[in-house]
Amino acid sequence: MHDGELVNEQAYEEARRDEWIWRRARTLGLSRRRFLALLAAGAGAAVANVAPVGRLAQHRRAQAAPTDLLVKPTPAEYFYDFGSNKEMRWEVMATRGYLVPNELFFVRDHTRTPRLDAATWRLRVEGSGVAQEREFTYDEILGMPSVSVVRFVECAGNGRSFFETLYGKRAQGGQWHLGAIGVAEWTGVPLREVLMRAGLKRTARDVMPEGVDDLKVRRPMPIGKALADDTLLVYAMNGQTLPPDHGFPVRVLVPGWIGVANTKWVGRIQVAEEALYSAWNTDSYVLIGPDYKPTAQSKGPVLTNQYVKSAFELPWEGQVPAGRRLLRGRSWSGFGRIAKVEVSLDRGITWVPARQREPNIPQAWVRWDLDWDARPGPYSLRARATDDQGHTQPAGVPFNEQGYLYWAVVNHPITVR
Amino acid sequence: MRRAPCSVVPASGGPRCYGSVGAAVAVLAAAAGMVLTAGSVLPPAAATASLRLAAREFVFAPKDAAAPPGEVTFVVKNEGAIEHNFVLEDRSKKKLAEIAVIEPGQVLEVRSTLQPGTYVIYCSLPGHRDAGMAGTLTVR
Repeated sequence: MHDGELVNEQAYEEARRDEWIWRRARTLGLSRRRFLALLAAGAGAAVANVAPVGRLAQHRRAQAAPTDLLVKPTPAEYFYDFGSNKEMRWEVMATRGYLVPNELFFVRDHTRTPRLDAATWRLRVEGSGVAQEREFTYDEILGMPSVSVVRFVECAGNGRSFFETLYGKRAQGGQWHLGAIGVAEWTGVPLREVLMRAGLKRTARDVMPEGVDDLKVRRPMPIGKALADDTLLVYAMNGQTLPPDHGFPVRVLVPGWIGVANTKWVGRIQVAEEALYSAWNTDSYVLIGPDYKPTAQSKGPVLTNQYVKSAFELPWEGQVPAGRRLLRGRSWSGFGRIAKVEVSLDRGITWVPARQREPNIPQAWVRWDLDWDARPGPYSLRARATDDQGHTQPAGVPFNEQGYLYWAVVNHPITVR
Repeated sequence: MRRAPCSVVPASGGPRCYGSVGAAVAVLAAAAGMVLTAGSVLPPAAATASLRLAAREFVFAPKDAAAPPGEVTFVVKNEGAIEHNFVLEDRSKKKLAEIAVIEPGQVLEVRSTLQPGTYVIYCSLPGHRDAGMAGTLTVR
């Protein structure tokens, strides 16, 4: 067949019919039974190829009931349990697509998930940076022009446990491995739409969304970031109504920034002509340690962007059967898209490039793989990514007390049997 | 659960960890010789006093406590469902003692030698103090 016949349905049908007649003529003399046996052999081979390694038992849904802290079930085969925080097990993504399904998406709650009623929920926009205070209902938000973007949301402390691995000293906070990240399609209204409706002043400088959770979690961002095309007030996640644990009825999406900036359950947005501060950018979510200096307002440099990280779609300290396989993983950067991924199977002595698989969406992630003839023994797998801004994962990062931004290469222990 | 049941290594003057309240009470009773509750009668100044506090969303109980001058051992149990911590400051906001992290269910202790006066106890995790996790300690 010609290329054109493979993409045009009518041309394809005609070519296929011609081919069939030709083959029928060729097979005269073969019995029908023999002909069907040949077909079955082909189909059988295709079926035999579908045998992913290390696949999670998809039908073995846990019976774990949701606790009072969260709403959605968080079974142990999907998540590591940190109380109100749940880390995604990376091996569950080995049989999934580009997006992390809502039921597998990690959860970071500073307190418990508030149970909110969209009918009574309001979003208030106020402060010196807007001409008039405005209040919006859920239906008013849904009625505004919306966009959908694919981006990651990642906890600032993702990878925190590796500070202890590297320094023998535990950083404060949940001891995540690399599963405090997820990529989803987020649908919502650009934040600037509500800011404009409240009469955003040209002198506005900082914008601080605030949650209606018990702690009123809030963190400011500069006006430039607030006006970006993909900074959104999100009401849908992966094509579904935003789930309670992920911010229902409305959350903020601040692409590329640390997770806490993506305020869940937003109820108020302060817009100011002066710089804004909160405990979440002065006491916490700042870098505190011997290599970092306090600033006038904060205990250390304030976090904004996530850096570059990589993870294998394998169980942590797990086992895989010996033999030829695709070794797969994903890499991401808060600065843009991934340009290069290298993998080492021999504890960092040699590095081989991994094949990147489309799509490669900026501030989301890219999937990658390489062929691996896995021989029995213990392994310490390493992946090292470089983004299109030139950031390459380093061998180590300086210690900070609250354990943020561990973007160094991680040694992933795995045993081949 | 990957959370370590006791993540703080005992160190001189630093936080110590017990597996349960029962264990904490037993150790305290043996080591401290006395267990004070808020506002109890003051023992001789030279003795080591213990003060038990419960941390939960978003209060310390008792909210207002009292202790004698001298070394005080703060035994803090996280009775809540999320992470908390413990900070003791004097009136000039100088930090005198701290337990950086107390996981739910954990009991940790920290010691400080205090002069008569008024002190502030709070949880320094973002938002927790504003939500109500603060109290006073009167030493007299």
